[in-house]
Amino acid sequence: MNSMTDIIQCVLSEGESTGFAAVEAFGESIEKHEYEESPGEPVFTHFSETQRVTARAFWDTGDPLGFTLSKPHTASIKSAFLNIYSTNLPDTQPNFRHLLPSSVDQKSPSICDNDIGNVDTGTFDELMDQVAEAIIASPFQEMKLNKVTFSKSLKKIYIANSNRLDSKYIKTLYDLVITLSLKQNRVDIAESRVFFNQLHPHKMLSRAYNLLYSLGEAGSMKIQRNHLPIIFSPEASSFILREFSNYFRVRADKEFMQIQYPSILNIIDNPFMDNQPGSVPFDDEGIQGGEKYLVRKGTFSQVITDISTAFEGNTQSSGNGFRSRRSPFPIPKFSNLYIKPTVLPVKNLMTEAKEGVLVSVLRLKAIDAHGYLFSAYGYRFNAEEMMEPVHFYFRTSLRSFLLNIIKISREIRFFYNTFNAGSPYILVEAGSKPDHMYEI
Amino acid sequence: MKEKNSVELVEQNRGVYFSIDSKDRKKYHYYKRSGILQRRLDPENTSRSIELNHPSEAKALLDTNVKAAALALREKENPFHSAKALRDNDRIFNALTQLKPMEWKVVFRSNQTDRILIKPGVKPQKNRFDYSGILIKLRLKDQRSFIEVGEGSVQSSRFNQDGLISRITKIVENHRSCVPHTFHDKVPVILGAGDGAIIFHEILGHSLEADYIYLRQSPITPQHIGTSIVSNHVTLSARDPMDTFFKNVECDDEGEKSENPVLVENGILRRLISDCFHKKRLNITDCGHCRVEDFAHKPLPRMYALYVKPGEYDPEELIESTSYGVYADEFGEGKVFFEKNLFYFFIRDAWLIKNGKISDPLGSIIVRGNIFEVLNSVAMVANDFRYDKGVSYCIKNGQTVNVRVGQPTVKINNLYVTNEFND
Repeated sequence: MNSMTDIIQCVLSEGESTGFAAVEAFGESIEKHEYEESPGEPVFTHFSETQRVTARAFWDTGDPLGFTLSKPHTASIKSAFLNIYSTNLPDTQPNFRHLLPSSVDQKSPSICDNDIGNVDTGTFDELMDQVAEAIIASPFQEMKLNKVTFSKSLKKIYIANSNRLDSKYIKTLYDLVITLSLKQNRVDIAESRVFFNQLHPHKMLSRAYNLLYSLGEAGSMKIQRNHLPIIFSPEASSFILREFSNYFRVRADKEFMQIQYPSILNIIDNPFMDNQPGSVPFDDEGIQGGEKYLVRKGTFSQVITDISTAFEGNTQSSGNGFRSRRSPFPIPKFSNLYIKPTVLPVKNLMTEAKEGVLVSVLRLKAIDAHGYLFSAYGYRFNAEEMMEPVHFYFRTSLRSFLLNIIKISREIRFFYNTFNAGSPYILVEAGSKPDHMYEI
Repeated sequence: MKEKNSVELVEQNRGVYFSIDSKDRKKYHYYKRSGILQRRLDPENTSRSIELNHPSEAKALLDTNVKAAALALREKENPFHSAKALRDNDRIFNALTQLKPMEWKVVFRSNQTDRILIKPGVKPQKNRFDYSGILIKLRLKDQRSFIEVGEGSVQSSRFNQDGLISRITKIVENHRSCVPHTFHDKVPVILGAGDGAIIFHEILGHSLEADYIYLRQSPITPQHIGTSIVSNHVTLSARDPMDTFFKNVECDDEGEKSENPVLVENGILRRLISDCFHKKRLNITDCGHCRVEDFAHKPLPRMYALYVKPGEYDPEELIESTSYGVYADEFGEGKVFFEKNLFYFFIRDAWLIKNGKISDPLGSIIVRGNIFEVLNSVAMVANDFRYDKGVSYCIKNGQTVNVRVGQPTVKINNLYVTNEFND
């Protein structure tokens, strides 16, 4: 039994012959090559081959049981089923096995780079050359390259269940992380892309220059006005969206969901976007999700769910059931979560604001009784002209941040870290506080 | 891969995760994974990790010729029956029913990890780590985050139900009767013996890790060795022969042993926490601290344990010497920002100290401060050393490993204290 397809079928048949009423088998096979180089050090390479199988087994009633095995044979699959069968007793609560899908459409977003086999050590050397050239051309001669890490992954996903679902897909992912420092400051600039030719080291270095310059040269901004227009860059606003993303999962409270936010605000989760690293044709339970408005025209419309949480809430799964590498039980996770862009160029936001601050980097400093405290680095602007770098602190909560959004731009960028979060530029009005801090 | 300068790790990892919550939802997850991590060290710098069905399959892949018997690992598994776990711990569930939190979840973990370290010319070394743990999570009314109370052991899967019930009850009563209090300036905070050392693990232990030092993320440099970096009340050790927690882990994950466990002696830095790779790069003498979560991960220099050695004071003296401050008894998660020299931590069972006596309950609070200002503000170290309750773990670069900490009661001046945010 060599192929994952055979292993998956073996899981279904062994589970049913052990006595379970329904079985779901999930297989994940990942080949990953990593390259890492620091100046003056030899290139470090790592290759990993993972072949993991997860089963979720249902009694007639009661919660499902699960197991995870590495590269299993028939004997180990049989033994795992016997183990979970003999160490547990079913209870009488109804379960959700009837909600496991029986089929899935074969349509898929574009998420596989067929040229992945041609990307190798030579490609990494070329990437390193591009990075070195860009640094030489940099206006900041003191900037140092600390490390470049590059990886390519080929992931094959298999899903089958006792309801005759049997499907699979292939996905590629390239990660490039460039670590640079200028004086005491250090930044990791990361890009994750589905296709190799979508990686742009030159653009990453431009971002690094801006960030390091604002980190290094920013003076503390004095509070001079009661109201400060702040434009958050896509990177900064995606950071906020990610920090607050739990509110769009199962546990959003009712009061919070009833508030009317600015009508220009739309927050979407969409697993079907071409070329995005968060995209999948279906989730880890075989449910095809599609585009979902979590906030539509300023009103909360839904949260993301998997089959289990949807069953509890008496709704349908939104197709967001994904497994962590440690568990056979999916939990609701985002695919591509983003704030929907408008038609306005960022220049329009600056015109509207007249004078304010463009925030390029955010760091969460603390969460305390007064909210989330962020440390913000960016540039002052006036009459559409960028001026000196500045640094300031502000406090906010998701509720307050969303309520203070004035305008949203059209230029969207995504940042991948566990899930893909994206945002355009966002203009927000902040107020000053007596403790030398801004509040949104 | 045929190379003399190599290290190979063969692993078998199996166990059970079982949870039940206040809505009677149960999750039972059995896992069994095997694999090999092969590393060619300098000058090659390559590695590969391969998943296997059984550790014996590693023989065909090994660089080094070893006998099949050397790859033999325990076949017998620790059985874990969910119904028995519920029956054995029924008093905890009764207590939860009586305390009526908004929601609760109890998690049981049972894990057996076996590792073989193979290096050319050296007899294969076997490490074994068995662990059983219980974690009780509670969310009270008007609270956003969960309070966690747990206990873990490498020797027994039986838990101290009375101890756990008393801790849960104390925390719930603290939160229900807590008096909101605003601290306008930095105050002394007394960290209870045992788990309080997780703060030293985070703010000082990680600063001593060689990869952070090599990448200049840590404020520490190798030049600090031999100099005073913290208050002279502080002596830190990375191993303790009396502690049985890592008793069957005789070497690190590249087959090395740390020669001397003392990291900081009376405030003076003696050594760093390093693996072989960073030992060479930083030109230091110590290694023996290489760890991986499992065979599929890249090795990192990290702590197994961190103990604050006992001082000379009675714990009561620390409280009596504090006219206005905080006593911290249960600890939650925290975060360290090396680049800004800052950190914050949740305290889940905090009490106000007034005129040298513990007075009002404060519920959950957050303490924060400047790393080195705080480390130099360790004012008193008591003589009541205790190990943690066995549930400490550490996440670094996405890898989670069990760690051990221990300390006596410690008084730190100059910490900012705020209440928890509940939006």
